[in-house]
Amino acid sequence: MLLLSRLAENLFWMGRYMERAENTARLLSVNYYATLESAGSAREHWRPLLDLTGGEAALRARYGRVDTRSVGSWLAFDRDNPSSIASSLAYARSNARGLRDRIPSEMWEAVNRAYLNLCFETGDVLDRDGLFEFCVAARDASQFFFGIAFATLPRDEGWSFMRAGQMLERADNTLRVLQGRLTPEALRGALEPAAAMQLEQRWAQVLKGASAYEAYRKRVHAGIDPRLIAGFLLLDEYFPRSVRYSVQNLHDALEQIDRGHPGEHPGVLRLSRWLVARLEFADVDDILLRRQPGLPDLLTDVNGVGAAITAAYFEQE
Amino acid sequence: MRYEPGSRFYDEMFTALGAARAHYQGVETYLNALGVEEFRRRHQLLDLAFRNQGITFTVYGDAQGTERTFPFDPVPRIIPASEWSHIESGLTQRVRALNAFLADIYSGAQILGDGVIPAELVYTSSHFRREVHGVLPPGGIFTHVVGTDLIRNEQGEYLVLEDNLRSPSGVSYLLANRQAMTRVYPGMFEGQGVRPVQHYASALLKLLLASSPRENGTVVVLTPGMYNSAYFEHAYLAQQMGVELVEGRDLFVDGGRVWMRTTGGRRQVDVIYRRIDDDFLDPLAFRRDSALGVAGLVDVYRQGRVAIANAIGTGVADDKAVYAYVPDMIRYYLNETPILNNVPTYLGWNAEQLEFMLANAQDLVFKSVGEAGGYGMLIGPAATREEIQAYLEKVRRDPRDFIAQPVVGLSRHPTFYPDSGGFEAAHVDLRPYVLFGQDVTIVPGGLTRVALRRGSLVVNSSQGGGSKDTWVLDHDGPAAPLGMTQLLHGDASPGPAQGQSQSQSGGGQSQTQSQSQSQWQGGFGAVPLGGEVSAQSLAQLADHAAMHRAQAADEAQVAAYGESQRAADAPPPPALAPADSPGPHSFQQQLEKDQLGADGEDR
Repeated sequence: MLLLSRLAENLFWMGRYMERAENTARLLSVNYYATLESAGSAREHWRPLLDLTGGEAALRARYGRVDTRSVGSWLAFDRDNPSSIASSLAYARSNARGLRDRIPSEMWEAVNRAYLNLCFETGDVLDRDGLFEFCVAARDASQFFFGIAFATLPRDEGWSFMRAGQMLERADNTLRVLQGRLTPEALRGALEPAAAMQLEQRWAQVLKGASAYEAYRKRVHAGIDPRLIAGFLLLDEYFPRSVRYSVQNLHDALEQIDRGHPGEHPGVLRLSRWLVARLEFADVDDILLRRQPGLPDLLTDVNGVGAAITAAYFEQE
Repeated sequence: MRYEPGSRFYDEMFTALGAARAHYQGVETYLNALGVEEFRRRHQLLDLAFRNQGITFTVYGDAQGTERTFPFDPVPRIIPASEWSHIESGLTQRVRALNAFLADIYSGAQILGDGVIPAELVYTSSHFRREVHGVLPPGGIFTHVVGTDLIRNEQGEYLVLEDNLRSPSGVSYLLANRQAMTRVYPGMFEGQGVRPVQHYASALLKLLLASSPRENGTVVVLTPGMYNSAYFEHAYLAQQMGVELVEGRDLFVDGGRVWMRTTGGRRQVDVIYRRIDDDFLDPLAFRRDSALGVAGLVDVYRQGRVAIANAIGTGVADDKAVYAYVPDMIRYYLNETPILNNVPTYLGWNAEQLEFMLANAQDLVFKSVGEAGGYGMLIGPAATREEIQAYLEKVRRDPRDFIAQPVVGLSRHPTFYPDSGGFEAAHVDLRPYVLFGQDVTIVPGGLTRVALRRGSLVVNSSQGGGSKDTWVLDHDGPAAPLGMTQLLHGDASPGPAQGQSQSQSGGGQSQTQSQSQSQWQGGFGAVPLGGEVSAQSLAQLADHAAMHRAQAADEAQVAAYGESQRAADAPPPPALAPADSPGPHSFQQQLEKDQLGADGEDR
C-alpha cells in the first residue's frame, strides 16, 4: 500500500494539530476557571501556560496587557496566535482537506464541522461567559475525530503516521506542562499554609489539565504531591496520557511504519526505542534530581524523533 | 403549487396553458402534497449538509479565499426518456467527430487540406499545441471527458452552446446533488423511474485504466492543489475512484518515466487524469513559470510512456471559432447529419460575416474566442452605445479573436426562492458529461445550472448561479407503476449496441477509423443487431457484454418506447449509450469556476 510523502506529512500533522487543539482547550479551561478562585497576579498565574504556547510577548504586543480576558481570547480564538485552539483546528482542517480523498468522509466532516463552528468565534464568547462551552466543544471535536479514526481509518501506514503525530504531540505537551510547573520552589514545598494550599491547587490543575486528576487519585493515595504527580505523568505505565505511554505508542506506530519498508530508516526507530527504554527504567528522581535524563533532554529527544521522521519519510526523493 | 410560467420563454415544467408536462406530473403532485413550509425546512437542511461536507468552491479575489457552497435548488429538472436519447445520440455523434478532428489535425490534417475548415483558423488558435504534433494518444483517444453545454431556445430545441474539451468541471456537484436529494427528499423519487448516476466514477476509472501504456497501470488525479476552485471535485473523484490525488510536486520525471514520491520511495505513474491546463503542465514545454506542473512530462508523453487525459492540445477544438465548424466535422468525418444544432455563429474571421456583426452589434452577443467564464463578452441589447463602439474597435483590430451569436432566450424552470417563499421561473442550461473511449458513457442527465438572480440569463456560479438535480426518466411520463413498461412492451433482449472497429497503419501517424454503429431499429421488443460487427469488436463486446446487459436491456426498452412516441420522420433512435466514453476535460486553472458557470451565455 503506497502513501505519498506529502500525504504522510499531512496525516502526521493532522494528528498533531488535533491533539494540540485538545490539549490547549483542556489547559485553558482548567486555568481560566482556576483564576476565578485564586489570589495573586493574573500574569503570574498565566505565565506557565503562556510559556507553553510561545511566551507572552506576542500577546502583550496584540492586547497591551496580560489578564484573564486577553489570555482567553489569545489562546482560544485568536488566529494570529499559531498555537490557539482555533489556529490548531484550522491547521488540522487544512491538512485534512489535503487528505479528503484519503481519509473517511466522516473524519473530514467532523473536522470541517469543528472548523466551521469554532474557528470564527470572537470575543463574544467571553462576553456570554461561553469559554467553558467553547473549550469543551474543542475537546469533544478532537475526541470525536480520533474516535471516528479509531473506528473507520484503515490500519495502514496512514493510520500510523497520524498516530505518530498524535502521540508525539501528547508526549511533548505533557513534558512542557511539567517543565513549566516543576520549578525548584515547587519541589521544595511551601511552609506557610495559605501558600501550600495554593500550590496544591495548582498541582491539581496540572492533573486536570491532562485529564489525569481522577486517575491519579485512584492510583496514588498519598495526596497531591509534586514529586508523585510528576512521576505519574512521566512514568506511569497504564495512564494513556503519561509521557511513557505516549512514547511507547509513538514507537509502536513507527515500528508499524517500518514494517512497510523494513530497515530503510533504522535511525528513527533507534531514537524512539532509546526514549522508551529510558522512561521504562528511569526513576522519578533520576529525572527530577539527578537529571539523567532531565526534562529538557527528554523534550529534545521527543522532538528529535519528529525531526527524524520528517527527514526519513517526508523529505526523501 | 403557485407558479407563473409566462409565455416568452420555453418552460421546462409547464406548457403555455399552465398544465404540468407529463414527465413532471409526479413531482408536481409531490410538491403540492409536501407544502411550501416543509419544502423550505428541508431546503435549509440541504444547505447545512453541503456546508458540513465541505462541498464548496473557492471564490478567487476574496481576501479570505472563502469557500462557498454552490447554491442548490431542490426542484429537479426532468428529462423524459425520448428527449434524453435524442441528446445522448447527438452528443455521442458530436464527440466522435471532435475526436476524429483532433486526431486529424495533429497528424495529416486532411480536413484542412480538403478546405472544409480554414487552416489558418486552426493554426492560429492559442490552444493548438505544435509540441504534440504527430503524437497519437493510446487508442487514438484525445477527449476522454467532455462537458458539453446545452441550452434550449424559445421553441424548446436543444442547442449546443459550447464544447468543453480540456477539463470540464462540475460532475462532482451532479453526484453530490443527487445524493443529497435522495436523503432529504426520498419521497420525491418514489415510483418516478429516475435513472441512476452514481456509476460515473467507476466508468471514469475504467476509461483511464484502458488508456494506460502498461498492464495494470497506476492512475492518478493531478490537481493544482487545495486552493483551486474545483479542489473538492478533484478530491471527490480521486476518492471515488480510489486513486491517488497528486500535486505537481509529488511527481517527477526520471529515466524517461514519471514517478511519484512515496514514503516507500518512488513509484511509477502511467495515467494522469489532469485537472491542470496545458499551459501549466510542464515548465519545460509550456509556461516556464508554472510551479504546478512536472518538468519533463511532455517528453515522456511524446514517448508514449505516460497517458494524459484529456490529451494535450484538445483545446483547439473548443476554440469558439472552431466550434462553428463542428457540424461540418460531423458531415466530413462521419458522413452524418448533425443531430444537435449549434447556436448560429458569425465569425469575425470571415469578412462578410464580420460586416454583418459590425452592422448588427446591438442585437448580438459577442464573445472572445480564447476566453471562457463570461470574460471578454459584449451583450449587445444590454450595452450602451459607447460600450458597443469601444468593443467594436477591438473587433476590427483583431477579427479572428471574435465571434457573435444571436441572443437565445434560455428555457426556464420553476425554482424555489426562500425569500419570497414561492416558486418562480429561472433560466437554466444543461451540461452533460461524456466519457469517450472504446465505448461512450454519458451519465443520465448532467449538471443543470440555474440563474438564481431574478431575470438573469447568466447561470454562472460567480454571478449568482446555482444548480439543480437533473433527472432522466426511464419513460416519457407520467410515472407508471413499476414494471408497467415491461408489461406494455415485452421483454427486450439485450444486445451490444455498438460495434467499432479500428485499423491503424503507418506507425500511428495515419489512422483510419471505420466505425459501424448499429442502432436499435425495432419497435416493441424487437432489438435486432444491425450493421457489421468485426471479429475484434465482437471480442471486445464479449468482455463487456455481461456488464452492459442489464443496462442495454433498460435502454433498449427506453429506445423502443421513445421510438413508438415519435413521428416517422423523427431522428433515428439513439444508439445505446456505450458504457464508457471519453470526453475531454478542459481545465482552466483560474477560470474553472467560471467555466462551471455557463460561460458565455450572458446576453
